[in-house]
Amino acid sequence: MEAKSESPSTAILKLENLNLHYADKHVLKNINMDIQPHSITALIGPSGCGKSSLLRCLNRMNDLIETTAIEGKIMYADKIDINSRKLDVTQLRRKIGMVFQKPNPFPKTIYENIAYGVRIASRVSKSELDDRVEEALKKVGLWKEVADRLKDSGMALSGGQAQRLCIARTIATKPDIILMDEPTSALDPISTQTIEELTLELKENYTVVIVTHNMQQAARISDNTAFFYLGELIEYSPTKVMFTRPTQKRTEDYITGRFG
Amino acid sequence: MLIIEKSLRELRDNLQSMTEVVLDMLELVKNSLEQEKINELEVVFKQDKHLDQLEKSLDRQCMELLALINPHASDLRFVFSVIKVNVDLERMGDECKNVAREMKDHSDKVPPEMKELAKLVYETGQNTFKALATMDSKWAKNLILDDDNIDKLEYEILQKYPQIGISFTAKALERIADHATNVCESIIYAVEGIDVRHENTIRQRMTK
Repeated sequence: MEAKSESPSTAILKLENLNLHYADKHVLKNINMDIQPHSITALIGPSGCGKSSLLRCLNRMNDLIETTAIEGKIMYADKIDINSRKLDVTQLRRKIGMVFQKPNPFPKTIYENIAYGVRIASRVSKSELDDRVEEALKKVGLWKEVADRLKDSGMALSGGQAQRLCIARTIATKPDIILMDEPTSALDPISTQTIEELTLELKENYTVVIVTHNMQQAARISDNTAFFYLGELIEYSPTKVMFTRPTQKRTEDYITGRFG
Repeated sequence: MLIIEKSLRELRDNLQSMTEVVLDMLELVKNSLEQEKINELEVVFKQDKHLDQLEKSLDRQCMELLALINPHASDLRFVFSVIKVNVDLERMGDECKNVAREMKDHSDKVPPEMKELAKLVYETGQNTFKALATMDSKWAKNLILDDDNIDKLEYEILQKYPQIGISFTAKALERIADHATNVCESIIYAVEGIDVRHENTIRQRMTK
């Protein structure tokens, strides 16, 4: 079963016949998928369906697992093959950043959490660095809350604030794409709402790919939704279509909670 | 049973109760016209009041289901359709009441075409409610096409009998059939996710 999105020419990420194995386990099976720029793409499916593995393919996070074997192409902006062995992975991860399930600020000051990535990516003056920190914190709506305590530890923030700090840290290196792996599953409803609103704002400037177990979240914020099951992409369509009239029986069963 | 299945079943049961009341009213209207008797019409007024209460309760149930259970896909389409069908059922009841009131107020002789029309409308209602209970979208499509016969008969009556009371009754009956058509369209949407409202669309779909 293959599902493709409608306008391939404008895709910022183009997955072609992507296969992923962890040792002898076939985790992703022949995935073909286009991800549109300045949109939010949600990846949904039951645990073990391959959605997080797919997300990790997009910035080579699977390289960290030794037994990984990957086939197929992931074209980024039409010209870069993400799977190429020659690619500078550090550079790639600056362009395609990741926000994780649990907020994981560095054990450094709030200021340093953001400045660190910027400083190692480019030579910037102190005043420029200050500007970049302020800009990133403003974009995630954290500036007002932390402006007077930039020297405090990032670890002292609340869950929702810490997650926004992590998003600020990601956008400070000026990425194109932000990958989010269940970014609100450890947060309370209010913080979740804040992150969702923020994600919607982010798509003005970035492309967002989000893995979520929260179907309402996918429905609320994403433009397109991809449903995975047992390593296959079962259905990929505009979110509005997916949640009102999905075409595949397995999608229907999953989103109406009749699975298994 | 899943929570959503339990909620949807309750919704289906209450919808069924409503269609039973409307069908009762339709039968009373049909029989009264057929036998030109008005003694049973009081029941129609009583049933209409009952129907109003059922409408409110079904709406409340749909609202709660949407808020608490968050249905998706076919479940969502079903609840959405029930909300619309609910309005149609209540209106069908209103039109039955209109016919009953007209019969009580004027004692025009009932023309044979009117008896035929009432019979057709009753059958349409009966079939529509069966299609609704079984969510049979194919049947619903055929029923929409049948509506033409009712429109023709109504037109005939309007041409032949100038009396205001008669045309009022014919129009009310025709409107009941129109609501039945709406119900059929809602069934098709709930089952297939396709919006077939407006005649041409369904005709085109049927010939495909």
